[in-house]
Amino acid sequence: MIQRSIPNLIVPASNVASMTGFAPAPAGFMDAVGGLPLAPQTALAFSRAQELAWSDPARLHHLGKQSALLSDTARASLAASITSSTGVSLTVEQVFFASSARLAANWAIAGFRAVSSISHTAIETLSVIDACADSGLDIQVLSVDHMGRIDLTLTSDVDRSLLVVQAANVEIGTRQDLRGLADQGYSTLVDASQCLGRIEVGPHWSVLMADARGWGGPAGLVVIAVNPSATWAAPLPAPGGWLGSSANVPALVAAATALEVLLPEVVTQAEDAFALTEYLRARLEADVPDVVFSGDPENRLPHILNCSVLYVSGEALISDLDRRGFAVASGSACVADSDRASHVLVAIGAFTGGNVRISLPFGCAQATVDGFIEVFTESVALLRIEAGR
Amino acid sequence: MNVALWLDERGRRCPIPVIALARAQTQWFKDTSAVAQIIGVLADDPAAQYDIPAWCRLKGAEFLGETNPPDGGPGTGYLVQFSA
Repeated sequence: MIQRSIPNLIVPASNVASMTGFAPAPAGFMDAVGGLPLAPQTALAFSRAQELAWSDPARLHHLGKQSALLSDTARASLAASITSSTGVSLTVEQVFFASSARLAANWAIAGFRAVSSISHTAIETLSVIDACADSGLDIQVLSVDHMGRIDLTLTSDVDRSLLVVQAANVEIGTRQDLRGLADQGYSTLVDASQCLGRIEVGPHWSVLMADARGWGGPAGLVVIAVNPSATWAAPLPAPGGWLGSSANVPALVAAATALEVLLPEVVTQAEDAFALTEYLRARLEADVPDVVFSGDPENRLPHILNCSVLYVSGEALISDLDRRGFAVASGSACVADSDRASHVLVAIGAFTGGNVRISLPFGCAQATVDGFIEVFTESVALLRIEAGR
Repeated sequence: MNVALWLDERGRRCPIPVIALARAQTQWFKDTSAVAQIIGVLADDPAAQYDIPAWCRLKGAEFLGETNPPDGGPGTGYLVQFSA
């Protein structure tokens, strides 16, 4: 019998009972997509795993075997967690790990040996778009509407084409109709980053990948799950589930723990976050002139809200909000690392200036949102006066 | 194309070029004798290529396209039509 619970394996029972499934984020923190603090149980499992599982799990000596035991347990825990979040019954052998989204996508795509082309939208993450290009296959870029939804009346050669798509866009929150896309006959590589641990992803995918940071796991771990019904075969051996001989067992243990302890709270958290973002949007629409929202207001991730504030510099706004105690992200050119506006905003034809990406951490309080509304309203008014508007 | 007014916003970064355009629209609406009018914005801020067309969609102006600056200088000219 495989041990499937990480906390039960390495975290002392006396510490488990009193802990919740996530860590409270610092006051004013509204950039969950950029990473979350580790939950107490996760932090404890992470540090225990660093003590116990620093040796290469492929080694035959007892220290290697100790790492392998923890790695296998975490793999089983993730298989169970993803099974319960998607309804696809996974065995341990159908779950894999990579150190980056690009590596994960490269490997997942290479496993679809029968496909001759890839279809993806222009609003996928840049790592995944790069991975599609890496494959050398023909690429078809599917158009999306002004909310980022794929047009279901597509005309590509579905039989031989792999659809690479986010379950929901991580910048604007819009969810795709995965069932509708599966009904068209596509094989799909679904990027469920920011979805696993937030919403029910459902069973309509051939291969699923997700960055563990989305559910409060550590950075540098991307999980891949292969649907047993998919026409897919591992392109290269992956001992213990690890791609590219880069086993990072402590990160895997932390990622598995984070999802395991979060799962009982997903539904409540989603309801709370959806209500908070809906309230936030309504208040900003009513109180602040010339703010435009991007993304589907209904069929969306619960914790994400994206807006552009006309006549304000994104950089000035983000910095001023930070000075006043609120941490948010932006897709404006002046804030992005590349000095280019968010490719997602550009693809949907949204206004890219003064952009604010809000993503609520788990357990976000009503008071945080109310405080944000007050500060945001004041900050926008002042910056507009400074800019001469 | 007969451009009634060129706004030279080269060297100015977002949000200044769009603010200048919005100000021109306000002026145009104030002028009760205004007829449909084409305004050109000269800008070299990279965000202008997305944000001037997006602003036009939001504010009921018509974005007519891009052109070379009439002075042969740097940057891009963005043509916008205001009409009631």
